[in-house]
Amino acid sequence: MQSKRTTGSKSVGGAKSKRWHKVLRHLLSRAGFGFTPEELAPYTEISYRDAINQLTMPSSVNNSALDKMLADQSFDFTNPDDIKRWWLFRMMFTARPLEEKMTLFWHGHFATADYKVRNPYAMYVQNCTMRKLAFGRFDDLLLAMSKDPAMITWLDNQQNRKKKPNENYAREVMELFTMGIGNYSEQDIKEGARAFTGWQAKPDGFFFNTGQHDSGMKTFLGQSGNFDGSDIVTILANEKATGRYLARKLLQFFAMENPPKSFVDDIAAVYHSSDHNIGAMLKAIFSSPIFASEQCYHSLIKSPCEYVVGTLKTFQIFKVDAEVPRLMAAMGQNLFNPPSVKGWDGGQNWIASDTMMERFNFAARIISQKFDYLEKYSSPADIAAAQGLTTADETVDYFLSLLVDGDAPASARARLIEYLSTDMDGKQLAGLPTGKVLDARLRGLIHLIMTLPTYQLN
Amino acid sequence: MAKQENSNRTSVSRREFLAGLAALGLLGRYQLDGVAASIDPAVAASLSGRSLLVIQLNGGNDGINTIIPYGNGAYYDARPKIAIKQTDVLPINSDVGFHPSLGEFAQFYKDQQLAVIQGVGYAEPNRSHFRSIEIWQTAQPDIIGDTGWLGRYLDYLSLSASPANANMLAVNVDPLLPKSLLARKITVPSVSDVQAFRFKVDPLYKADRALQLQTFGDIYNDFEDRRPIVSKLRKSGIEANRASEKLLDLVKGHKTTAKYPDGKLGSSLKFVAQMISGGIGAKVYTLGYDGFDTHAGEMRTQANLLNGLGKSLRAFHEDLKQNGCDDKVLVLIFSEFGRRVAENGGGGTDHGTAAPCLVLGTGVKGGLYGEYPSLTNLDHGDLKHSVDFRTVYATIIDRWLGADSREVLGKNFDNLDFC
Repeated sequence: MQSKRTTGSKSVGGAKSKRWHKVLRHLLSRAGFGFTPEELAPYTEISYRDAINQLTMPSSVNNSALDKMLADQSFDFTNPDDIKRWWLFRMMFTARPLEEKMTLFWHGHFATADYKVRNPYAMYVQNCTMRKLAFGRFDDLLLAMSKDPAMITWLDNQQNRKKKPNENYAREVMELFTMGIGNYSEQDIKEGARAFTGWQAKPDGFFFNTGQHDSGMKTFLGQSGNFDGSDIVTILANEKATGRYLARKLLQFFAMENPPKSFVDDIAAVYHSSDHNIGAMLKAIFSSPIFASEQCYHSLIKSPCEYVVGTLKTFQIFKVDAEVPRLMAAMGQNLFNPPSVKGWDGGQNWIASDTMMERFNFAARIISQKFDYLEKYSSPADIAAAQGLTTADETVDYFLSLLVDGDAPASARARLIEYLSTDMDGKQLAGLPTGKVLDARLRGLIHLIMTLPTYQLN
Repeated sequence: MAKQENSNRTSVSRREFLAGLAALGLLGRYQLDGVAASIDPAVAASLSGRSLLVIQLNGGNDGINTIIPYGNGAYYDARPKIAIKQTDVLPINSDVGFHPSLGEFAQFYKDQQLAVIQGVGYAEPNRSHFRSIEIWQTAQPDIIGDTGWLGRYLDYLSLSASPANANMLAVNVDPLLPKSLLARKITVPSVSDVQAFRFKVDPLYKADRALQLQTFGDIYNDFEDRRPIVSKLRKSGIEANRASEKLLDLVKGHKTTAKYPDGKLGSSLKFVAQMISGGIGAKVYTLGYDGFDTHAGEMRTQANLLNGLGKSLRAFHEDLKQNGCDDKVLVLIFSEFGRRVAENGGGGTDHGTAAPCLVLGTGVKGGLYGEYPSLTNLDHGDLKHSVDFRTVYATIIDRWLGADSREVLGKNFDNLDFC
């Protein structure tokens, strides 16, 4: 019943309204990376609430098709290109979209980069840990990250020794992973660093070097004791500021760029009342009326990951070659290599002149017959034929609906119809062109729709 | 000296004049163009064509191992493992000298083209990378500002720029726009790889490019949508295509024999030189140079980075000289903070405070400026700054760019004498 109220469904005997479908598409775009028609279909059979339950409890969904697919690919996890392709495969073909989306969230949160770690296998292991603990108790994930070999290398905790502490991890764990800036002192950083001394990595994993650990008394955020790293993790996870910081970040990633304070407070309250359960926070976000409202719909800029994977899914181009992660990197999102420990700023920061141009050119490429490859990526003429599109109006409306959910002003629609109805010399035709000209115009049409401001929105 | 006083006076009187016009409701671009030029044509001519390149050393460069206080025993006491040996330092005088990888900078210094401003920082230093970067970029240490110091300068400039130039007042040569370039009226393009920066179409139907671009332009120009996010996207898309056409033309005509080192810094600087010698007319260029967060293994990392910086800037300087515009460019090099005086346990240093700023160019008055902070009278293990970073900005705005730093920085700062 809750689902009906929050989505405005006027379902009578299972028939669902247009608005209900729109909210469902919004949910799947945010909680995943877009969808193929086959992926969308099963969600239309269940309630909105069940859809949220399924998305936020990924372990309840069978993912064996993906597992088999991955096994067939025989990835080399010590190869920096292969781990990217492996992750893109997961995003493309998983039956648990939110699991991959949350892994991406945590990758941007506990941002670790292979350009310093220089160990793709350690990056892969870290990624698996994030996926495994993505929906559970935050304390567990924070502890696992504090002991993660890639993280230990990334923030120099290997060099954090009893006599000469290294403050890098202690600072970032508070500034970026838990409470946010302004909630601790320089002295807390120094004391925190002491607690993490001797937390080191060995080739086979975490190693507690007791000889390098400072077991003395520390005073950290007003509490005193012979703290070690796990005590610091517990203290930080219990802080009110941590709940607020995580709530805000999750909301900015999944809902809106500037969430109102009351929304942040509500989600932070769920963090504390659920014993720091991330899955509960996600459920609360997706179930809230604000999430389903126009305030959130198409209010975020697609990340390069969303832009690329979403496009591939829309056109059902099931080809993930090594070029794809490189193109994403040019748009500003190089997987396993965030620009700094702060991760990707995201939001409007995705947009600059050259990253926009990269998006436009990805669109041209994906819809071209050939670019570097001779085989064609997709055939819009086949799509048009299968949909029975016979006029320019119908064709433009279909692709506007497929690509931007119909979110385009009338002037753009009119101009696209005009473009579609010209021959190769630019002369206006009475109706749709045919043959080779139609092929060229349809590819041009799709390219142009993908350059629309609203195609950049999620 | 006379020149500086002159340009200062001119910019102030111009500001007052503009304020007067604004009060009368007479602010209009064409009027201002004529007026601004008529104030003092000689000064206007000498300042026109000048530009500023800002290089940000990301991660917090260790200033103490850049301009090394090798004459001070406290330096060697604090850094048993990572101090640079006295005999390796490239001396400026008997107290301080350059890191051995900064041979090119030592040469610039000898040639009177490098100003070393010591002890630059700000009160109540923040040791977070991200907040401190924000403070340097906004030049607003006391609030979370939403415009950058360069952006405010560009806004100020756009009052009098002709519409044709207004869209290329600055270029950011990095994938991400730094907060320093956030402005109210101007959108600054970011272009990191000029060769890839072109609207492409299906290679099978190349003839379609013109029609697609035409359609794209029409759609973007008429895109009626009041959502702020959409209007931002619209502006970026228009700007991207406009900048692309302009920049590709410039790059084609460029010639130099200067050898830039391989890598991002070299190619970025070459691109800046191409834009400057091609006469694009931008006043500001920005780029970042990554990797200075040396909590561990500092000796090798910093030596490589500084070596790359020196070699790249030498090639940049040569290139500009060959193209007759080396006297039109001033390079400011800074980092969000320096590092702790004492080394840490990993052969590195943790986040610190004050550090030197470097200002480079044929138009620079070379020398040492500011005081080297004490290595023993510290604030929680960190240097106390002797020069407010906004003093450096103010000098550049007033003297090099001939604008009014008070308009940009919100209050008066003394000028140093480096340009």
